[in-house]
Amino acid sequence: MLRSLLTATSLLLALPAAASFCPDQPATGSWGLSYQLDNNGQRSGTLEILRHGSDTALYNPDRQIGEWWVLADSKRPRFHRLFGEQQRRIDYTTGDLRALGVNVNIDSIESFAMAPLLSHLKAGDAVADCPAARHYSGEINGSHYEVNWHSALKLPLLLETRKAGQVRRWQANALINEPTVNQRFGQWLDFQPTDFADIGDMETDPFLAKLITQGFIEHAHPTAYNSDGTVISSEGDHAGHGH
Amino acid sequence: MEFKKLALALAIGLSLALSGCGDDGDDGVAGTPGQNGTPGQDGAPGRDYTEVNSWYTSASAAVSRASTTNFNETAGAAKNVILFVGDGMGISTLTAARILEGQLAGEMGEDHRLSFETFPHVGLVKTYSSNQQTPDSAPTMTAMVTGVKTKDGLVSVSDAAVRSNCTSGQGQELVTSLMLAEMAGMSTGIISTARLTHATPAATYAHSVNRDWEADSNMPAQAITDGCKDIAAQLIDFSYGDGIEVALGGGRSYFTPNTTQDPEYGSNGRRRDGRDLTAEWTSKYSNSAYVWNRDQFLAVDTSTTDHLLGLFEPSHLQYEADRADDTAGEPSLAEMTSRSLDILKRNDNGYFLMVEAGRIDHAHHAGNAARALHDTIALSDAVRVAIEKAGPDTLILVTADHSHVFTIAGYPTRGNPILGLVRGNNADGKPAAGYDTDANGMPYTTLGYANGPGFGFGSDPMNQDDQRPDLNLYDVTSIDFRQEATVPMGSETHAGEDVAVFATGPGASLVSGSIEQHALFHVMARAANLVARAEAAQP
Repeated sequence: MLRSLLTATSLLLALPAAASFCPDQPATGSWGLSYQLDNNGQRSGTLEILRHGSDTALYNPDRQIGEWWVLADSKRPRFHRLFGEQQRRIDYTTGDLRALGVNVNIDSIESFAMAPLLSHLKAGDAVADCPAARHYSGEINGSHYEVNWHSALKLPLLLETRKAGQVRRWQANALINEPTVNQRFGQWLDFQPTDFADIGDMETDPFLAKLITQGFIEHAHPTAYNSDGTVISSEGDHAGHGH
Repeated sequence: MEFKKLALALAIGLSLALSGCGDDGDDGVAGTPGQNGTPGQDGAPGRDYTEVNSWYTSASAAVSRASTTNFNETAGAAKNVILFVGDGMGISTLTAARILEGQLAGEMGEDHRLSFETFPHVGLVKTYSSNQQTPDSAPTMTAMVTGVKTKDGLVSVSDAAVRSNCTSGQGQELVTSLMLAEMAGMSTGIISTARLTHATPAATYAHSVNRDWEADSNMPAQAITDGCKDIAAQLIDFSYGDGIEVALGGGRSYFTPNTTQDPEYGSNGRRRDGRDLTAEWTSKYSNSAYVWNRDQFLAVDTSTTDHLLGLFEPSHLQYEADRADDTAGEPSLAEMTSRSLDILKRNDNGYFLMVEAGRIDHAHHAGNAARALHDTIALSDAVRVAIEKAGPDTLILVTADHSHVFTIAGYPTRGNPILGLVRGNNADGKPAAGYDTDANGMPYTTLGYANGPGFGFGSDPMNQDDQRPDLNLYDVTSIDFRQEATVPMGSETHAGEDVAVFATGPGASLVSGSIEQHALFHVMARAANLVARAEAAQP
């Protein structure tokens, strides 16, 4: 299921200029950025990163699938997996995450795994038309990175990776306002919750049975996933690799 | 030839016996009814058998002890009954936990014994439900506390009912051992590290055609209209006898309204009907208390509190391995058992107590053996407390509801870390220099699962050549390590083989051989004469 989070691949649209979108630091604790995802020039979907206080969510509005991290207590993170079509939510306690061997890296979660990688890239100039952003580039684990990093938002406005002829591009194109973010989180609170620990005993629930048999915890370090569902780790895997 | 070997071993054994081989530890001195017994040596670390003759003498002594173990098997000889249930605690879990506990104590581990493995009577329990070869916790616990098998998902209603069909269960409610005990004037208690509304504890006090109907928000509107009640409400509205004396576990959010914030996490409760069942508990019962953290729990005066409700998490309690890290603090299973007995023992009519280690099951479902084993050890600690606090007039059963597809593989040498990679013996029978390997030269762990989330280690790049990760690069003994699984599934599954039941106290010998799970109710009912006592107590 994690693989399918961001697999809404479709057509390529012409990419906007890197600096055509240059948001200011939001005055509120609830905001988000929307990204257009492209794979080898083909538009592959949309992804949102949403901030709500100390919470961070990654949400695919096309597929209505999301991952919601509760990070108020950094030593005891909690996690929710969101399924909008079914109005269902799977809740993971800290103990569940530990039992699954999930190592939570908050910097990675809050930045599409980019923040820990910046120190491995070469810092360039401020981005034209967007002085709040700075350009970074370089090679990590055989992947070439081009990044426009917004230091105040601590997020990339542009993230492009090239590896083995594959070009993947994430382009921020809209700031999501506070009412929209609050509406999203409020909606998710109303989803029917199921404790992850209970799923193994709920095989007669058709929705959960599908998760059990198809698998929905496939990685030991889930943070964010690219358009092929490949985990984006803090180890320079943005270009992905085969499974 | 065989006779010569036997005689030789016997001769050596006798000579060594004179040189002072230690006792392996057995029962302590039981207390008189109503008073604590003297701490015993059950479960004390076993010896490290390094002399061949000590095998012989120790086994001989064990047989001698067994031949002299006599319990009063008269119906009604048991004043009290304690039923311990390790959820998902199959026999391989017992073996691995036994070894782990021994190794944590610095022993080799294999000859160690969990506290209840000192019990004199053991049986093999058939766990199938009335409609499934491999069951879930609802029909299995129903079988244990009502005396009949039912279908998966049903909580203490007969298999004439249809899952999730409210009206089909009406008139099919089964009387449980806890209800009988209350009717007989006994005190009763329920303890679980899972939610108190979870299938195993729920089966003792509630009737439901769906194990998931734990709060009213989990129920379809039609079921409520048709007169079915959620499980949490049934705990508070329980009407048998003078009500349940002790209920300790998790599931706080199922007892509080969705307009009320949790005191520990700030999340909302799950009840839509506006009922605050924690407040109703203290208003319903005099001399009652509600607690939600360990400090409050330890401050309860067990000599004056008659009805105690403790809800220590919004959902399940922490795994034992994580308990010390809990923000608000949670009592251990042993602490809950100990203080519950302090309350229950004040009743001269006796008591019925059910204690569940509910998270063994969850850790197995996650494919995380270490947490499952630590929770099993925590259950062993709780049983040890019960052994020491309960009198000789108490029947104690320790069993599981079902097993898991959890395996102990390979040919590891004696004392090999149970959570570690398999290191076998060399041609001389000594520990080999390196690890045992598979057909592709890769090491493997002793513990593993037949299915579950541990298949392939996801995107790990080391999983390319032989479809297995190179475990040399992992800390496989880490508490967080997820064991490999053969079949990829999002959640590891239950298993259908028999589980064990261990018994001590009056009626214990009724547990023997291969027995049906629902026979355990009849063992308890006969030992404590529950039905006759309940009938006699009716006006």
